[in-house]
Amino acid sequence: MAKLLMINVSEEVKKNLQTDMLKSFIKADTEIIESNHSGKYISNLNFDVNQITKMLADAFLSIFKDGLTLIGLLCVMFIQNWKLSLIAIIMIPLASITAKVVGKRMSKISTQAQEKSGDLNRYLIDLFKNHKILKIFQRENFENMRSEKFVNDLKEKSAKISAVYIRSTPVMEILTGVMIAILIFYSGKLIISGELAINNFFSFLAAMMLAYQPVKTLTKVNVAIEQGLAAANRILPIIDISNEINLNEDKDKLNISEGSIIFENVDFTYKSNPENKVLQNVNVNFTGGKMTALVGHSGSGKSTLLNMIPRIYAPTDGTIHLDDQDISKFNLASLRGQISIVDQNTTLFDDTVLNNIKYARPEATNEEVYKAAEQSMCSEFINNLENGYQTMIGENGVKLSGGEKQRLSISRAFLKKSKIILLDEATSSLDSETEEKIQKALSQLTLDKTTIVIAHRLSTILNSDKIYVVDSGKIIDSGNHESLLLKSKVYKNFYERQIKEY
Amino acid sequence: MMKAKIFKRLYQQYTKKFIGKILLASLFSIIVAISTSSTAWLLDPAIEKIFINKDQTLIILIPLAIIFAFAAKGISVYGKTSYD
Repeated sequence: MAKLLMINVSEEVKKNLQTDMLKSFIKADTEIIESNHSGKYISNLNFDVNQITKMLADAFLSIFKDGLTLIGLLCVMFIQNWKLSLIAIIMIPLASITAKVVGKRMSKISTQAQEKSGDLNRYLIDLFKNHKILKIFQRENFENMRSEKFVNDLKEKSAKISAVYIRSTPVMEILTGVMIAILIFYSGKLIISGELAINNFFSFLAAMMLAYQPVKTLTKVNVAIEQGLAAANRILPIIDISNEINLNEDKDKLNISEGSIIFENVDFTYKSNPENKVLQNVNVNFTGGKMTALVGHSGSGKSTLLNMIPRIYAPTDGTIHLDDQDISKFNLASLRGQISIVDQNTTLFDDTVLNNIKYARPEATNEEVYKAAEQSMCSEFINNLENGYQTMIGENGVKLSGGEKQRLSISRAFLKKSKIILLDEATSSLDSETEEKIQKALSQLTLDKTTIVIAHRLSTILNSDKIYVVDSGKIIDSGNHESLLLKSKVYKNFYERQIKEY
Repeated sequence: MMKAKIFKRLYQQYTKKFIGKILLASLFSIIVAISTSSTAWLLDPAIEKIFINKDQTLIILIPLAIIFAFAAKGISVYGKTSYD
């Protein structure tokens, strides 16, 4: 029972640290999460938290228990013979100097080992994500070599930790040997001269021998504390990540009627790369209830512009108004509650089909989910799945085709019933039947909604009420299809390429 | 971050709530310290009274006291480990 309680305490501390880190990840601005590789965070969550738990659960109690035991034994030693005791305690500071040096070195190597562990995690994530690519490009040998390097780097650091740890042992052993030799020599002299009785000597010797273990443990405690502190130094800043995009929970809710969105002189740069202006002086007007297309080459800033509407990114400069209300000054939940995104990289969770659709509105009834699936032309393929809506779809929907995943994403938007639809069309072409189904679903979804679409398909562009041409982070032209064909070279270029593709 | 600041934060935010269990573990630690020291200390009368003075009455008492000290230590270490 008591053993169970101990495990319970250290596991509670671990759980609380990990919960705080996960909460911090969930609430953090997307830009912060994107600025580091996920492997590093995974390593922090596992490796570092364990180091702190070890420091709190093992090291501190060891200091108390072994410290007190040592004091008690020293008392016995001094009672039996103070002269011999003085010789014995000279050796203790020597041992602690060794421990301090080892502890400092250990902290440095532990940080390096944590970095290597992060590298390995990062590599693993890339490996699983790009498994098909590696097969197609036949890079097995290259990846074998690379994986070996990552594992080897980590092994070297772990071996170094053990080596430093073990290196302190011979020093301690030699010190103990020298101490015993000196004591036998001196105590022999004392006994011969009649200054020390044999019973006092044995009691002293027993106390000194028993003190060896606490001293040994205490020297190692320092190492665990240094490692724990180094880990805490990496973890606590993650827990403290503050959001630049404020939730504005105490602010008024947005009052959305038409759903018109206006960008005024909006600039945006990523903090990780402040030199590169992703958006420059953007002025756009997305009319409420209409479809507006954003057209431009890849990397022109269209996705960033789209992501600024739900405040995934905040403008570096300028303002965004929704129905004449500055979105940065209103309750964020009320803004995001009115926006749906249908992304080209449909994000699905390893859960049932039903729960994946419900993710958009957890309180929705099953009937509402079935209706949304019907509207997005999903119900047919869902009903053909092994367990229908209860089928597990695998990691990121690995068991579904690209078109099916996209339609699930559309059904989420149907379920959410938001006034604003943000649509990032898939660049990969689908077969004509699937394409037709998706187009049908989308035209139903976007009816009378403010729709902003990053358009790749010609049909979408032609259906749009207004088109903005984005190039190198600037809006270089706007109008309808006919007028842009006449006045915009970039648009004409884009249009001609699309005709060739389809 | 300063070491003292880290300790303070870890204590206040994550460890303080388990202070009751930690104090109980500390109590066991005191018993461990006392019993360990007493086993060494008991050797003095054991050798003097039993081996040198050949005292018949202590031939049972001192070994019993040593068993008690070791048992107290063993149980407390278990308890201490349990509450770390």
